[in-house]
Amino acid sequence: VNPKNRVVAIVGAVVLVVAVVFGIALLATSGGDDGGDATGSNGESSSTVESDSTDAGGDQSGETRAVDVIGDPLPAFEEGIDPAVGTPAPVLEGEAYDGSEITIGGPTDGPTMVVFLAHWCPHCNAEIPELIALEQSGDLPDDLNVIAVATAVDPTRANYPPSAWLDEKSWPWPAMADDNESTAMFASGGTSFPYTMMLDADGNVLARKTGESSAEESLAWIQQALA
Amino acid sequence: VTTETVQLFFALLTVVAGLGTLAWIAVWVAARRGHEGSIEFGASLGEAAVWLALLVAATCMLGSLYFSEVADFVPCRLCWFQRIAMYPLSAVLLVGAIRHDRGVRWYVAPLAVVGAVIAGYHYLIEWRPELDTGACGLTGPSCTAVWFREFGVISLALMSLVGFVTILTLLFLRFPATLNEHHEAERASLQKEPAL
Repeated sequence: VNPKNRVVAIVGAVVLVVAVVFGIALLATSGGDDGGDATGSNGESSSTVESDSTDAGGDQSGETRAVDVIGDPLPAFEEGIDPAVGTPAPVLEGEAYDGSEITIGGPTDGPTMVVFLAHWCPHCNAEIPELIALEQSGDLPDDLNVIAVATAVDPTRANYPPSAWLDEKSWPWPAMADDNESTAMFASGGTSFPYTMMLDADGNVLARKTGESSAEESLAWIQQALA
Repeated sequence: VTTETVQLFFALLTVVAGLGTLAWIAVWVAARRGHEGSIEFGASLGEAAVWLALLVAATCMLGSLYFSEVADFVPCRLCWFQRIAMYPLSAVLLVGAIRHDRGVRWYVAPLAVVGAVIAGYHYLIEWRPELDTGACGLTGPSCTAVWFREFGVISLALMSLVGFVTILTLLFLRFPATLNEHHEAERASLQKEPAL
């Protein structure tokens, strides 16, 4: 056999295999809907924190809700010396998923740890059980308030809707729904998830951090922030 | 054609490429041990190796472009590094194939090895996010956020990894051109051995 013909035959056979595979994929997915997959993500738009039906910062599904920001936003968080420490955090007025009002910032009965979480973020998913373990260990200060802000909501990404996601994760503390432009997150200087902010009883920033932490790391961070 | 169809298509191609690579290695090992059928079969395959590698590289590139430009799966940082390594391979391999230049592998190898290492790391942190920086970006997707996992395991990072490894296998597992050449090589290696 002419070597050139042999090459053509082999490459042609492989191209044929590719075509057959495409036919199999087409047959296997024809007639089905866009049911997504094991991760919960799917092939739709990747755009984040946007919603078609907006209503004063929220959407009709109730998964994002209007947030009012009172005061100056904090500078975007960066590793290193944090210029926000000691300054007042803006007061965030919003709603929980059950419609009850939630206010973050300003004078309160004790320090407050605010945890910004995105339902699609694997690091946030890993952070939640660590915080719950910390709570169950009894090591958290008694007067510490903990509040989640479910932010960067994206209906096209994994674990949507965030209200059901937090229920499934058995989040034990109150949770505020951020609006469809992640206003609470940006006003607090968040740049990535999970993003945690510790406020004192007067609403001033004690510390900020970003990234997933173990229960032990979180406890050490909390103790240092409150020291 | 839906995105779901294309995901399944490329996942199946990944399986085919993976199995094909294993078969290629098995034939190569058999040929090295002097199995005549494997030598002849491998000689035929060897002539087409550069063209097949080109086919793999071009398919990877087109798939990557489909997922970013049509399906709107925004590439993460590590995805971009893999694209930088994969896209030039199509052009380099096309020139190599047209010129019948098996030496093209040495121009492909640096890019493909770097791409394979990055893809391997990317796939690892998809399963072990704690090995990464530990945070998801606000302005871009996290490298640990997985767009899809077909059959529970095949993500874009694994597709990329299999693509790079397949290309390297095709180009670097070389068969003797003929059975005669194999025998000659064997005789030559025997002659090199020191006399007792």
